[in-house]
Amino acid sequence: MEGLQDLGKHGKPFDQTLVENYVDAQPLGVLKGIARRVMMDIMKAPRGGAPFPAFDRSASSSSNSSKKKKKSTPKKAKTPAKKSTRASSKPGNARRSRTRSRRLRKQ
Amino acid sequence: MSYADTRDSEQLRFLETPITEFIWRYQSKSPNPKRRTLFLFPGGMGCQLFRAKKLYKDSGGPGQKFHYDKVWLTLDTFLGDALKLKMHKDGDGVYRDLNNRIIIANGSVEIFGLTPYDRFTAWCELNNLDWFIFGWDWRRRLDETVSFFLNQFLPKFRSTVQAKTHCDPLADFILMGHSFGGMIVDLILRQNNPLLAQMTRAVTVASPFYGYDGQIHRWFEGESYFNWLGTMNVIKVITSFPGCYTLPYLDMATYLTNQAALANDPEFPLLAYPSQLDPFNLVPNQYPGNTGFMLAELQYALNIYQTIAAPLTQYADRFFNIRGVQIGDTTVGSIDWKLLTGSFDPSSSPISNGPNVPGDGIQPAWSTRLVTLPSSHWVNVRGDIDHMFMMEYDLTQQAIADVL
Repeated sequence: MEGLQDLGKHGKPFDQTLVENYVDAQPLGVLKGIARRVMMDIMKAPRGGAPFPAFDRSASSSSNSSKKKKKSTPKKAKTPAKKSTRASSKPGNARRSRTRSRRLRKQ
Repeated sequence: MSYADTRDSEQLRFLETPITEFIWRYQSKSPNPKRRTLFLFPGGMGCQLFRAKKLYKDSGGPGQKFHYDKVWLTLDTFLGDALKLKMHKDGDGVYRDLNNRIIIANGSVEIFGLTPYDRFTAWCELNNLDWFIFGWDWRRRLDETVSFFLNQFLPKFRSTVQAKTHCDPLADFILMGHSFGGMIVDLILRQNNPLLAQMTRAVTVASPFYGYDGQIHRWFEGESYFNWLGTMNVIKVITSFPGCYTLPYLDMATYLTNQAALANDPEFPLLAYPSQLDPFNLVPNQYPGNTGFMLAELQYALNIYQTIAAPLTQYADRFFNIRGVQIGDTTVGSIDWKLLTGSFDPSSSPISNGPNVPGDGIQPAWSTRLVTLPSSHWVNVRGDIDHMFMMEYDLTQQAIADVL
């Protein structure tokens, strides 16, 4: 979700193809896992008005050491960008991904 | 047709599909005198919402029909569609949707094919329960949903199913509500409607009869997943939902009326009022003036709230409450609520959490049963459970089976 929202943080409308590629880069099992996590988390009360990514990081900083936090943050930021680029760089993948994304979105 | 009538008409039209699916399921099984119909009201935020592609026209004449886009809950909800859920009151006091584009409910939420009720409906199939998930718009006033369900949906449901199957699907039926949906069920039990005579059980699962902290947080802090769209924007959307004014902690009058009973719960007592401030009894600087918070709606909600928390005068013998209890103290049980000083800044909330207490991670256990019911009607589900997916666990399903 962080990665997706990052796409829209520059004030421009979302590029649907980018979003579709982003989703398509994940296996269905992973997407369902994300869906489950999102549905569970959305019920939880916000804390301190902080936007989601900042909230997430501050939550982990309270329970983990600062060393751990530094390690985990860049990993989270990198993973989605890498996968999305890879998916869109292959024409076959991109076509397949758009079809599958549309199917998922219809669901 | 008015906006409200058109919305109801469209909602009823949309329900034709799930009614047809119900009939298919019904006819696919052999007749069995043990079969019962179960209506499930999903939790708040647990129902899908669809938004009309075109706006309703006041001068548009009768029978306006629309095509719809899903706005809750899809990927696009997180990318900006959440702001399209905002409501407003028209000159007649009717709540309308943003830009007069009608929003209706449609079943339970589903993302990437996952819903919070997949295993529950499968379990129903195996237990002679003909299930129907009644999607409802959790943004709207609860009494509107109750009225629609009893006066419009149920008669249509019954006549349609009877016409196709020659069986009465309401001969023996169950009302079940998960979380916020349980408050709808409770409110239904307060109505005088002859159809309810054939209701044999009403069950709530993880429903907050005395509120919880989350809604109060949201009025001041927005919603974590959406705040990147602008926290104030998100707060203004949330404060525009009249239905959610029935979700904060209980008012002081309700607390004092039930104080002894709440404190005497043998397992999960509420020993003190859970907040410094009564959400319903306003003092200056309690709520910000620039977020669209509706004081009049708070008063309206208080009446609903007190109705829901009052002792039942009918159907109490058929009403059961299931509450989830995770291992350990995992759930916020009270808040520290300070008055606002100066202009409101959503990044520095006046609300902070008190100590954790037993609960399902979202709802404290002291809130999730009607304390005026006999304690034999409270069922605890203990273990590694989660509020949103509570209906999916074997333990919950066993507890439901026990009370049905």
